[in-house]
Amino acid sequence: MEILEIKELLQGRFSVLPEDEHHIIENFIATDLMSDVLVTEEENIGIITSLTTEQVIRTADIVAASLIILTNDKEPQPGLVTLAKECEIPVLSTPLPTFEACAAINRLQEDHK
Amino acid sequence: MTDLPINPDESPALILDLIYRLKIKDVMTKKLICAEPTTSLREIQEVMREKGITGVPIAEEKRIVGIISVDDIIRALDGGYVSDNAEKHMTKNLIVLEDDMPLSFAINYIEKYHFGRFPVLNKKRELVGIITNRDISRALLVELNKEVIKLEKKIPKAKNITGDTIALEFPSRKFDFENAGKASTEIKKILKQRNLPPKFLRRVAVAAYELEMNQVVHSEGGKLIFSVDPDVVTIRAIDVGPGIPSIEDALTEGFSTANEWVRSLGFGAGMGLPNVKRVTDTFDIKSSAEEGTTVIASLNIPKEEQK
Repeated sequence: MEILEIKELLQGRFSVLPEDEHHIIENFIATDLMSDVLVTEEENIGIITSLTTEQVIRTADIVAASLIILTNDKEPQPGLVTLAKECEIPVLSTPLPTFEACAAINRLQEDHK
Repeated sequence: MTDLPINPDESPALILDLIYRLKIKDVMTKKLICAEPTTSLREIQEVMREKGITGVPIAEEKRIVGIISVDDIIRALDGGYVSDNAEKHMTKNLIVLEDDMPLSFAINYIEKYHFGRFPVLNKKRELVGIITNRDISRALLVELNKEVIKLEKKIPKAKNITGDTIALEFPSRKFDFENAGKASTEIKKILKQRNLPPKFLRRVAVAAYELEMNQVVHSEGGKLIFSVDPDVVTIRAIDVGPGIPSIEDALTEGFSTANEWVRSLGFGAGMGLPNVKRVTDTFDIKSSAEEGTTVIASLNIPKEEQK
């Protein structure tokens, strides 16, 4: 699904804008522990997390993630925003709690099938 | 009022080490030029001019009771009362520093209060010196000179990056989460220049990052050494302690000894070493309470396939 679809689905707003709103992301991972992100071998993933530190971006950069989704209406720390802009990884904040965000994305994935 | 261009929140680690290590007594001017409460402002003005200073502490015995600054003199000249005694016009609400305090306190005070100088007292509350912007700048320059010379000797020369072997070393500090991950980012950048396949780069980055984070989260400090040969990338993570009680546990997925607040930062998944083992071609780990932990892992550089 496109990044734009995700934004609309989750009532989100970007703290770091995507280069391409129509970029498609098929796979997602939801976690607050960074090492769990590093276990995945997939690329072009969306990371759903409520962690607001820079380490989210460092980890995202290592796995070449395409989008960070911050749940629970969390505001990213300034360090995260700066690093995300440097690494060109868009950051979307959603007011939805993590579970709801995951469920919504999963429903949309099912619809697309 | 010239403030010091040092922000203790954003300065490099070396500078922070310095300003916490140096004590105010190491930096202050001990040769005090004081005056007594009965000294006239005119006499004080003379002293300031002669000695090239802008503040004179007023002391009785060894106790400081006030301070006269050049501003006070200017006001006195303007108001026509420069023959008055110091004690009539001296500033009595003094901000002072203690000689045993780290230099960082002086820097913070200058930031906070915007005075050019602070009297320094010892534990017995006796006036033992005065510290100014100039003192601080001079002391820092001297120390930084020494540190830079030491550093230049330490840095292993990174040889031709597009050619042969390179070796790079990065320190890691306990709980320094702000800088954590930078070594991995650096090494990834350097390897990217060699046009290595993205999947390989990712493996190196994962191994480097996990090893780096382990040192920041669990060790008392350490270093990461990367060597890149034509055939293999080797990462050595060496720390100074406290050592891993059970390597078998540490290698178990999900096992973590990270504390609560470290987990709140996103670490402590218990996947660090298992992740490193998974992505590397060779993995060797040694650990003891006396010598700390050393991990040596290597990744064989994939050869270009003929298309």
